[in-house]
Amino acid sequence: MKREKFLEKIKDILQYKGDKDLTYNSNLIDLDEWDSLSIISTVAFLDSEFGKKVTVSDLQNIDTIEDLARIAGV
Amino acid sequence: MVKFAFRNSKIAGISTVIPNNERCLLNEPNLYGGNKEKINRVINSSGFLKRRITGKETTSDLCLQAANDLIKNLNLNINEIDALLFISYTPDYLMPATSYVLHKKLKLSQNCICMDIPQACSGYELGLYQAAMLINSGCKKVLLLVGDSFSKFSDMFKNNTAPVFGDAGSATLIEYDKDAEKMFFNINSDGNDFDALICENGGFRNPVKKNDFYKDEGYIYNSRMDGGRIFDFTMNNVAPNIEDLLNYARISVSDIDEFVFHQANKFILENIARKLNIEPERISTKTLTNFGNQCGASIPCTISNILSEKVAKQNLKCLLSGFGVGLSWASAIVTFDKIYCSKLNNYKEE
Repeated sequence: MKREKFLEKIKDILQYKGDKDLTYNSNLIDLDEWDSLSIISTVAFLDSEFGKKVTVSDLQNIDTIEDLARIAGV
Repeated sequence: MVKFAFRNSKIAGISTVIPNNERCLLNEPNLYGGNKEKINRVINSSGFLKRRITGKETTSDLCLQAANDLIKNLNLNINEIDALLFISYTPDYLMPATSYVLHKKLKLSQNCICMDIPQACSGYELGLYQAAMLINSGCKKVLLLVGDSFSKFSDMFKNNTAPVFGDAGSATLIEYDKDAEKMFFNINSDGNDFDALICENGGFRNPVKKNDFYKDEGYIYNSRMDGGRIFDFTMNNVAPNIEDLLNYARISVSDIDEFVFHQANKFILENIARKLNIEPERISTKTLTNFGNQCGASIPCTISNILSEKVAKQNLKCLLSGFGVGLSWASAIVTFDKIYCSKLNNYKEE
């Protein structure tokens, strides 16, 4: 998966409607949309698309979308 | 390895009962501070919408009505019931076991074993397993009552776990039949996460004291659920348990007529379907959407809700799987061969 598409997928999961554009450097912890529903959706996304097994608590401890991309390997 | 195959045990009938009081997530004023957008997002992802909750009636009242319906429709001689199992985390009393209360109300014979087993989400499979063991140790007819009223574990005005649980009761008759098709079970447990879904007060570790009811921190029976840990548990454990069972039974996914899963939530069931490589449509979520997560009763209620006509007319090989509080996860492959199965009946006050 290309990096642009990965970012789009994460935006879909977050259903982000904020003013600022989301980038790989956006801090997830600062976003209201990064809630438990988004986190479990991301766990399932990383598993289904990349075969990466992470837990909810793993994702509660990461900072940026770049960190997610690193887990996915994109 | 905790996998088993039983002969001689036939499921003869199922009856289910739900309370009348319906609540809808769209009308829960305190949920997410009334944030409509967030509520809609939760409804879309989890699949929850409506649920039924008990008032004064208890789980045993729902199970009693289900049992009476089953006795009537199977034309059962109650003196032939050798064992009564009540599977629930919401008993009538701390002592005695609720199965004795039901033994009286059902007017069963003294030649009967009464047993309560506290289990919820995997309770139906564990109950069938226990019933099959009893049949293979000499019992001829076992009445299995599985139900819960988890709405009572939450103060619905304060607790966010409240809106997902619906209450229900079920009755299933398992009887000796030397020609019955084999039943297969795979049962797993992990106490390390016993506190991932817990109601801490009211037992003897944290006994109830005079001033405990409605302290500042809330309702005495409030349960806590660590949704993240429960989600991780389901993602990691349920599909492998089912794959092991299919291998053990030498049955392939295509041989299974119906998958009936504990109605945990839509998102979890979709992910289990994906991991098993089966079409998500094969795992129904209709029961959770209309009646909530009914804990141990969610599987018999789903059979009543969507399969009652099919199981009455056909021979259906079904894979049942339940998972949750304990943590406990258990799957079973059973055959329903033209059995009596009620629709989801509404509770009638005595």
